[in-house]
Order: sequence, then C-alpha cells, then structure tokens
Amino acid sequence: MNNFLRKLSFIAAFLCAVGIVPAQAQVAVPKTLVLYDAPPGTEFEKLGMSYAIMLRNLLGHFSADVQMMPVQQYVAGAVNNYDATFYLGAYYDNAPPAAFLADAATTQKTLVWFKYNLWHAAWDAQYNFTANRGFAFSGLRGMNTAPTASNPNPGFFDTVTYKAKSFVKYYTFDAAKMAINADPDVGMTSITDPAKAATVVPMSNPKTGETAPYILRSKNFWYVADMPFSYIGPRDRYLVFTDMLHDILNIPHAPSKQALVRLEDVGAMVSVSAMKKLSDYLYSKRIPYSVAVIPYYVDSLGAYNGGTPQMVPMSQASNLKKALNYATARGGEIVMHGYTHQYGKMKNPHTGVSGDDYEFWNIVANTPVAEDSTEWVQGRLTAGLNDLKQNGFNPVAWEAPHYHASALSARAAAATFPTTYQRVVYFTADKPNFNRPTGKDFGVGQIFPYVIQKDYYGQRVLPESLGNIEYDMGERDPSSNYNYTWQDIVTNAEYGMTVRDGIASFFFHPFWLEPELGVPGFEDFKKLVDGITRLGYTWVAPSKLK
Amino acid sequence: MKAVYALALATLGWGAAHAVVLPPPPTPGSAMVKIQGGLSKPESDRALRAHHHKFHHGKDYTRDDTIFGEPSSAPANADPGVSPIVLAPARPTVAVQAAPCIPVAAVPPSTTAPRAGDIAAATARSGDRAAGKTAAPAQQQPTAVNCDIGKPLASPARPAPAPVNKASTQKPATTVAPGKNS
Repeated sequence: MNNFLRKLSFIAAFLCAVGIVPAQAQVAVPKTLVLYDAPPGTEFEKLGMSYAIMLRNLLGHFSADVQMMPVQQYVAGAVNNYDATFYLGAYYDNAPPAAFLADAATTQKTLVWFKYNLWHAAWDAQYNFTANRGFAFSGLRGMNTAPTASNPNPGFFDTVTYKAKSFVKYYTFDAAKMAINADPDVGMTSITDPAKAATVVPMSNPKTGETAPYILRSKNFWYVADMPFSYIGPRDRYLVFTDMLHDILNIPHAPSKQALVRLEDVGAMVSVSAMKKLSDYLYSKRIPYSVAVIPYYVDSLGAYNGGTPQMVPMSQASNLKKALNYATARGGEIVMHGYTHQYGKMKNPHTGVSGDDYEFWNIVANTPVAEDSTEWVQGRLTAGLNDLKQNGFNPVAWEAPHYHASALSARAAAATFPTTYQRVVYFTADKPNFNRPTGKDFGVGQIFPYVIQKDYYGQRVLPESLGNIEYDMGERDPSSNYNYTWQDIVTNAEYGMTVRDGIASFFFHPFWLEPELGVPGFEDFKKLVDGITRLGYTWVAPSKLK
Repeated sequence: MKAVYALALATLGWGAAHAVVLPPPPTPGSAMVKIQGGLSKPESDRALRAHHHKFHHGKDYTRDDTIFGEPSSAPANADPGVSPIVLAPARPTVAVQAAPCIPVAAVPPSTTAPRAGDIAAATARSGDRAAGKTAAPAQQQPTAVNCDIGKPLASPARPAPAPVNKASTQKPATTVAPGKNS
C-alpha cells in the first residue's frame, strides 16, 4: 500500500511539474485544531469560543476539517495530529496547560498563536523560546494612557499596514460611561535573530511613532499580536488575517477579483419602474445580478395601511411578479430573503411590516422567537419556496432578514438551500443567554471576503462584503439616519483587493430610485457599479461562484 | 497508586508553571475596555435599518408605476437576444396594460392552500402565537388600499419604532474586570 501511495505521489508531482495539474489541486483538505480560552466561572468563559467559531468559518474557505476545543482540554501530542493548530489567547493570563506549552515548543506542525498568554511560553526558561524562535516577547501594550473626556483617544497600536494599505482598528470612547469601545491590547515582540524569524505584517502606533510586528513568523510558528475577530469591518485588519490564512495553511489560491451585486428587499410593494431601470442598466452592461425577494408581504399591524392589517401573497403581487419576470429575463437570479421578513403581530423592532422587521430573531428581547424550532423555520422556508416556485421562480440562495437568525434557523436554511448569501451572526449556544453573570453567551456578526464552503452552521456562504448605499432620511424615518455613499463602498472594494481571492459584494435597495425620496439613487448606483468595475473586478452571478 | 502519583506530579508541575511566570502588567485603561466580538457597532447597525419609507403608506401593489409614473429608460441594447451574457431565454414579459387601480378587496383571494409554517400574525385570532399555532395569511381577505398613490399622503399615522434592546448580541454589555482584559 505504501508503495502504491508513493507511486501515486510521484505521478501527481510529475503532473504538477509539467503543468497538467494545477499546484493548488494538490493541497489536501487541511486538518486543523482550534484551541481557545474558556476560563470557567468567568463572565467571558465563552468569548474565546465566539472567536473560535469565526476562525472556524474562515477555515471553511479552505474546506478545512476543523476541531474546536477549550485549550484546557488539550491532550499531549495532539498538535502533531493536525496540519495546523490555532490557539486563540482571548483571556488575559489564562495559562495554557503545560502539555500544550511543551508541544508548542517542539512541534514541527504549523502553530498560530493569537494575542494573550504567549508569556507562558516565552518567559518560561525551560522552553528556551527566544533562542529557538528568533524573536522575543516583551509584554503587552494597549492604550498609550487611559483616555479621559479631555483626551478621548490617547492612541494605541491601531494601524496595520498590508499591501500598501493602512487598516485602522475601530475605536470610540464613551466619556459618559468611561468606556473604551475597542480592542487596543497587543502583544509586543521583536526579532532577535532574522535568520529564524521575520515580521510578515507590521503595525504602528501613530501617536508615538512606534512600530512592531503585527504578524510574525518563525518557521512553523506564527504570532498574531491581537485578536483579529473583534470590532471587525470592511476596512479592518480582519481582512489582513483572512488573506494571510492562505500563507499560514500554504494553500495559495489563485488571485481573482470577482464582484457581486444584489437588489435588496424586493417584495409586493416594489416599484416596477425602479426595477426595470436597474435591470435595464445592469443588462446593458452585461452584468449578472441577483434579486433578494420577500415572497409574502405582511403588514400585521396595518402600519402602512391606516391601521388595518394587510397581507399580499405572491399570487396577488402583480407588480412583484412583473418586476421579477423582467429581471430574470435580463440576468437576474432570485435569492429568497425570508418568507415574510417580519415576525408576528409585533414591531420587531420597527413596524411589523415585511422588509422592515426581523423574522427569525426577536430583536426586541434579543432572543430567538417563541416558536423557534427546526420545524417552525422549515415550515416558513418551505412555504416561501413554494410561493416562489409556483410563480415560476427558482431561488439560487437564501438570505436571512437583516442577516440575523437563530442558530436553529441557520441550520434549517443550510438543510434547505445549497447556498446562503449574506453576512452571518453566530451564537455560542442555540438558545443563548447574554445576561448570565458567568458563562454568558455571545453573538458575533461576521463578514466574509470570500466564499465559505461550510460554516459553523453547515451553510455554504457567499459573501456580502461591502455594505450598501444609504441616505440620511432621519426626519422621515428614524431608522434611516446615516449616509453611506457609493464612494465609501468603492473604498471598501479597494481594501477588499488585499485579499487575494476577495469578492467585492454589495447590495442596493431599488426604492432609492423612487422619485418621492428625492435622492440620486440611480446615479449613485451607476457610479458605484462603474467604480467597482474600474478596479478590475469581474461581475459574476451568485450561481456561478465556486 | 500510580495514578495518584501521576496526578500529584501533574499538579505540582502545573503549580510550578504558574509560580515562575508572572504575567505582564495590564495595560492603561484596560478596565475600561468593552470587548465586542465580531462586527463593530456601525457595521452591525447597518443590518438593523428598516427598508420602507413613508411613501409606502397605502401603496397599490397592483399599480405599475412604469405606466403611471416615470417610464423605464431601457437602453437600446436591452433586447435579451443580443446579450453576450449566458442567460436563459427571456420569458415573455407580462403585457403592459394600464391596469386600473383597484381596491385590494376586489382582488380574488389566493389560491395557495394554507401551509404549515405560515405566519401566526396573519389572522387576528388572539392567542395563536402564544399557543404555538400558525395561521394562513391567504385565508384572510386583503383590505382596501389607497389608490391615490400619485398624491402626497396626508400625515400617515406611522407608529414610532419600538425601542431596540440595547443589550443586543452585537454589543454585549461587557464590563471587563480589572486585569482581565479579554
């Protein structure tokens, strides 16, 4: 058998060498271990797990086999059973078990250490860390000084430089609550032997002018100075890590620049004129696109109907069907965006109207809805699918209303649809309790820059990575109270180009074309499409993404 | 006995590791840090926005505004037949007719059979949701709509948005204990 495998390897290597098989095809499915801090009896016992879920999702881009466990459960020798092990040091001075520290010092397999607790390896003489690794760990740095009302941002190592772009970490200071909304702590390292270690990505502290390694590498050992899963956004250092994962796993996906555009929240009240305009424009540019459809319109409280509840099943939604027929004939693919995109007879949180409210999450109580179960969700998904199919539309993907659905809902979607197309919120429990004094749960929203073949809930996820155009209509609609311009989104796309196979993906609400609103929706949409095109992206249909 | 001895050794070893390695000092202001995993607040708030505006009050969902309002400016090459995009053949578009603005009540009820999983809110039977029952929206006759879409609507009685629970999953109310800047 071994002889056979050796022959097989030789043949594969030969085919690769002569260019018959791309090198990428040779990379096997990586087997990975994700270890995280879970200090029992603390408020943040599950915080590390939330980071582990996010990392697990990114590893899904590489179709990796992922095992997650608290670092305290580590069994001696385990690192050598995996192609790569990640340790998420999420909790200050949560000492990793000695077995892990010993294995970390000797393994030849890839090991990635994040943020805290490196001192337990680097400052313990028995591991001879600095001499072996070629870099020294000197301590932690956070805020340069504690912020005050008069000096709200004293600065910190907030800037990561990668591929000629500056990624600035999120920071706000709430002087009234004396709260820092940021994750400023970083581990400080310095190269002591350039033959053994090198800075891969630098970071800087603009207020002091200091620089230090953000990601460094010493052979099989990688250190990431912070936790790149907190306060993430489309221009955040999180993107740097998502790209670096290719190098860490040694899976060098070919560079590509693909783009997606989706017309959002298209339901019974859609403007046919707006949809025709957008469809015609995209079609004229040979740009495939998708339409996120709400099959069943419900205004359960009569918020837009003089106080009288109103329901419009798809069979009666003539404008919707007209708009979709027009779009699908011109390159539009259908994405099912909820069943009703609202929940019951309550404001959840806005109006109880399709398109406004959450459907698979009670955002007011911040819990799963009362009926939350696989059967209940499955019933709604099936009903929506039936509505679409009976009217001649076959959705290529699912998108949860407001990107926010319970764990059970996400799993039900994964079982019903081959693809999900959105950002996703992940929970550390199916029925999370966010208020427990110890061991409370966390829900974390995650953007993906590329396709995730299988996420924590079993979904194949297409990314929405850039956001959407918004206009400040705060005087008319308190929930619509900020501007997000086409230029903002093009800038996001520029940052997205730092991810070698990143996908520029945004969505747009057709209602911005309705003349009553008085905003330049169509002009801005065209500028945005043009701006992304000029960056060299190629537009693709969701169904064509691999 | 051997197991007890091994356990004792392991315990001693564990304690020794803690004894010899002291952590670096917590950073300035670390007790003030509120950790938020995942999306930052501006990004998580982006998903919360409602997707209607007040002009949807009383909208007639059968009235094609291509006919009654601004016409679609289809580009000259919008003929599906000339696109290099690999598309399914264009379906015949619904014939453009000046459909009259009709009250919704005149629209025949859906022929879609009631389904399990239809929303509980659709029918006005109190207690349905609490009882875990579902109802079929299609069974309820739609109500009349305001067909006068061309005119500005007079001060619609739009309910104010309900307050959002600030302790959302996107921003857990995390108070970091001194020295535990997780």
